[in-house]
Amino acid sequence: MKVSRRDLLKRACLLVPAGAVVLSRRLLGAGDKAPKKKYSLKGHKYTFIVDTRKCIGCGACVRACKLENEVPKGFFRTWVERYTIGKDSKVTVDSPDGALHGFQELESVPLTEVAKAFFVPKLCNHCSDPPCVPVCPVGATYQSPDGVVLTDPNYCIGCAYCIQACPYGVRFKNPDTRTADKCTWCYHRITRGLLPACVEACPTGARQFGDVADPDSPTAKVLHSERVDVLRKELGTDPKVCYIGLDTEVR
Amino acid sequence: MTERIEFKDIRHIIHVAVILLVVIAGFIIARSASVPKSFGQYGHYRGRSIEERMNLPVVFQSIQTCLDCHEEESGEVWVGSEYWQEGVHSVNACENCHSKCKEHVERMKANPDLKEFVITKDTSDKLCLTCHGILAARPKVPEPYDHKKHLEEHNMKDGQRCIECHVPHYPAI
Ligand code: HEC
Ligand code: HEC
Ligand code: HEC
Ligand code: HEC
Repeated sequence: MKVSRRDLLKRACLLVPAGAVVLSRRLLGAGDKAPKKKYSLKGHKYTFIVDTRKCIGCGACVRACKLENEVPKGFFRTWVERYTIGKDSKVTVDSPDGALHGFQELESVPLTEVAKAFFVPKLCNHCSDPPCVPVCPVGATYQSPDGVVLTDPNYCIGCAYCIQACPYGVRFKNPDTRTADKCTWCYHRITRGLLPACVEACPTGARQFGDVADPDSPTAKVLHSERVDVLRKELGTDPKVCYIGLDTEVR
Repeated sequence: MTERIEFKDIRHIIHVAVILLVVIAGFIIARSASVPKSFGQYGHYRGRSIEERMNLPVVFQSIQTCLDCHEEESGEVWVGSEYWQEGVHSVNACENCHSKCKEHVERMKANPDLKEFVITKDTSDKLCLTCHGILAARPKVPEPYDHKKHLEEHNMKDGQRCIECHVPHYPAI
């Protein structure tokens, strides 16, 4: 077969785009791998449910959180409080080292003097109307389009206004980065379809997390069948962490 | 009577306009240099920060990750077996009792034949008791449990460890 120079050039010209298509599919990994579903920032309604009746105060959540988020020693993104109400109606609240190593029996109130006692896990409430966001002078703390309140450690100037503004005391200044830090509901996990580390670790189901935009999700079912409350409702912050079995003493 | 505007008056206006323009241009340049590109993409913050947050590494391992490899009966401990699935500890994340799981998973994925393990096995009673010790505030599930009484009841000597009688992955007897 004889090929004229003109034909050869013509074919070569056709080969270039064809090769480019094949190569680009190779490079982009299309074809052999299903495209990774991209996370959409829209259409989520994340809700965290804390069932205080199920919490056994083991501190597995606190340890998991520390591990996952490299929370410095002495600081907590989540912690567990113990409320002990004596027969004399005196309320004792304690959280030794944030419950990092669980709890020991309370020495100040003997077992025989206890009227009731329970554990209350605490974490960022991811308020729908967060008081910590508008006070930031540089826009380093914000509510993401999917409703999670996040901080931007690369932009934070460490003024600590947000730490003052939070009525729940969930924020702290990270001594390593010198920036504001707090629970993110493990944003890097939930956007990958995983559960927050504390929920994963909880052995009793006292912590539940889900997207209630889907009315069939287990979280939505709990939300619609149980009597839930939020912390300090009177502040109008509209928290997205719902508690089951709260007592009036819990702040 | 109309006032006439002379050319020398207009020059003043031009001066002011030029200064104003320079100031505005200076502001725009300074602003674009100091405000990050993605600022305002979604709101009054750096849009890229969301992505940065998403890309942080996952550390705490889910039970499913471990089961991907430890699916069958593994030695004496029954992880992943029917027993384990029906057992009361199947809700207990592996990482609650084993630490350095992430390193273990990465190492075993890279080389499944390794015989040296970084993962730890906490066999102490202390670990069991963080969840099972008796506390006034502890609800009744799991059954709060008095080690001393327990041991007396079962006629055992003090110091016998929990895992000598309870298989950690299937503890109910
Ligand atoms: C990539 C596969 C893989 C994954 C994922 C994996 N393992 Fe393993 N693991 C192994 C292999 C292989 C062994 C060696 C088994 C043997 O020699 O009998 C092992 C051994 C172990 C041992 C025994 C170590 C020792 O000192 O005897 C423990 C404990 C363990 N794995 C726990 C876990 C836990 C917990 C997870 C989840 C975080 C996990 N593994 C995930 C493959 C895996
Ligand atoms: C309640 C605590 C606890 C939990 C939860 C737990 N383990 Fe263990 N695991 C232990 C202890 C304790 C040992 C050591 C047992 C021994 O030495 O007798 C052990 C040993 C092992 C071993 C080594 C077995 C061998 O033959 O030496 C493997 C593998 C293992 N665990 C995997 C897992 C996996 C996978 C999970 C999660 C599905 C898990 N474990 C959850 C406490 C736990
Ligand atoms: C992180 C918390 C946690 C740790 C650590 C833990 N357990 Fe458990 N354990 C539980 C929970 C929660 C249950 C009950 C689950 C249920 O009934 O739904 C349970 C159930 C049990 C039961 C069955 C109780 C019953 O009422 O039948 C036994 C026995 C037991 N665990 C022994 C142990 C031993 C031994 C260890 C130490 C190797 C241990 N557990 C470590 C959380 C834990
Ligand atoms: C000498 C063996 C032995 C040792 C050691 C032992 N247990 Fe048990 N345990 C048993 C037996 C047998 C039962 C079943 C009791 C029953 O069904 O009445 C039991 C039951 C339990 C239960 C279920 C609740 C109950 O009271 O029936 C828990 C929880 C428990 N053990 C935890 C532990 C923990 C935690 C340790 C270590 C601190 C431990 N056990 C040490 C033999 C032992």
